Amino acid sequence: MKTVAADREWGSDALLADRASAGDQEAFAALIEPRLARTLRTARAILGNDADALDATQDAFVSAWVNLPKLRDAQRFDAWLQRMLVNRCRDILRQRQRSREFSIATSDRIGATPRSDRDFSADGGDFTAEAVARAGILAAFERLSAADRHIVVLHHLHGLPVSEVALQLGIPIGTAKSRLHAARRALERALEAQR
Amino acid sequence: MTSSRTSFDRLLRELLVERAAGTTAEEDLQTLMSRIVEATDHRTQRRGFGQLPSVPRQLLLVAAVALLAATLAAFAVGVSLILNPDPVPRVDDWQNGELVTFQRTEAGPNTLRAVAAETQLSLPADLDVWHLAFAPNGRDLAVGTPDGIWVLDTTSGSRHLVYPCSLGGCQATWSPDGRDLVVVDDGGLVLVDLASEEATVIADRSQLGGPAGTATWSRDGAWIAVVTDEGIDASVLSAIRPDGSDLNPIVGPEFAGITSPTWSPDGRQIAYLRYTADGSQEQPYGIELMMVNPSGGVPARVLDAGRCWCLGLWPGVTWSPDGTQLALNAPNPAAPNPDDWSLYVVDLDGGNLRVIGDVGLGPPAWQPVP
Repeated sequence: MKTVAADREWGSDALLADRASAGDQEAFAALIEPRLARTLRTARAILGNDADALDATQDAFVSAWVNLPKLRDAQRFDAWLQRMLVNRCRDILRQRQRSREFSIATSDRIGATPRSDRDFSADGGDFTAEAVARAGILAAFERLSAADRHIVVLHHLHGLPVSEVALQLGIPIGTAKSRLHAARRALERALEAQR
Repeated sequence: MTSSRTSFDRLLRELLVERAAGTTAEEDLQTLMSRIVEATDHRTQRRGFGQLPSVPRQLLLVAAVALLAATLAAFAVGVSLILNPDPVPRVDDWQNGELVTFQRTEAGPNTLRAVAAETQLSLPADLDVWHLAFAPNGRDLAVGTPDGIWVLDTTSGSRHLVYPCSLGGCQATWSPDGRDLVVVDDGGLVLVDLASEEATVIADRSQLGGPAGTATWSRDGAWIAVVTDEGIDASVLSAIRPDGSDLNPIVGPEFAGITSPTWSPDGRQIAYLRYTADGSQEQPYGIELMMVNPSGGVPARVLDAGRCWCLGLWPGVTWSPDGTQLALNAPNPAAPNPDDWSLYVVDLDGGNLRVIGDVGLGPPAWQPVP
């Protein structure tokens, strides 16, 4: 149940969003400051890379500033910001995919050691069972789309229940459940494959 | 099962915590804040507080490149839409059209499987499919993606975006004449005229009394059933006219989740799934198939699908076009493990349960016979 304090806080955020929408940069700074660390953590968890996460977070907030006048309901700012962040993460993952395809094609031409051989030989077979499992989950996580990673991060890192994930993302609860399940099944399958 | 699940959850959380920790110090956060504030200074002009630069030649070039890319993409989609081995067939045995499920298989990330005929239709892999709905013509699909609602012609592969979602993950239901879609977007209902592609908000979340989760159009076109979904602890099933008038609560507020309402062909009943949570660790959710008269009355339980852990699974039910059967994507009450879900069909009294396939990613759909 929402408390009066929570209502007041929510209301003040909506007010800040309205003022920022009208061009008040101080209001925008006040609006984003408490969200910065958490957004950066989310971006890091999705992208697994500090530099990319910093870029994605910055781009998401700048994009929010540019597009804020288009936001119809200021109380939906958080869900809307999440969308900006995931869009930017998706762009970065696509860029990475393109550069990976290029580098694999290039390394094939020069006869480099296949990636799978390198991965196992580098660690000399010292993996513990748990380390192998973690590597499997991590590899499977890297294969998820940005949107699916985001749902997993909201639920498993930030600890939001599925209903709250749905509210945060502005999607039906059934959709949130379906997406989380599909992502989780992919990760569980990766874990089972390592056992 | 619980210990392996706990172990998996622990591993996953540890991994995410490590990834999220990064190496950014407090001063880096302040630097990031400064960079954002500085960037907003530069972008202030883009918000209409200054003058926009005039670049007509560059815009023309961009438009030409975009047009060329769109043409190539449309051609590629046409080629990539593979029917295997034949177009999705009609199965005479069912006399109902074809029951299809959405799955991600070896054949492709977006696969519609025609269950009885054991054939499948691969949808374009670049569509991030969140929701699917067949048009009454049995050929077109409304595909919900994070970008919006696409209408896809399954015979030619052509597609176009008919409605951009405001927050992503929206879904659509077809009018019985196939001329309109009602889209659930940001918790409200939006009517999209497919001829003009004009979108009109017919009810927002405040008018509905909460954010809409799913919506289904009745077969006579007179009503739309809508679930306003406040989470697993409170749901309301209502009916509303397609013009946004006459909002009538049918069930609830229920201290349970309501999902996947489906109208009987004669419009006299709505079947839906009800799920409850008791907070237990092993099997916290119970799922029941319910039926209610939309004009009023007490909902009746048709089938108890049992309890399951089932976090993340999306149960669904759909009424066969001839009104004699219901197909469910749900826990199978006859299975030894409640988390082994199936696609199965029951008669209207919940009896004669027949498992007909593996569980799909979303609710099953009965593809109409054109």
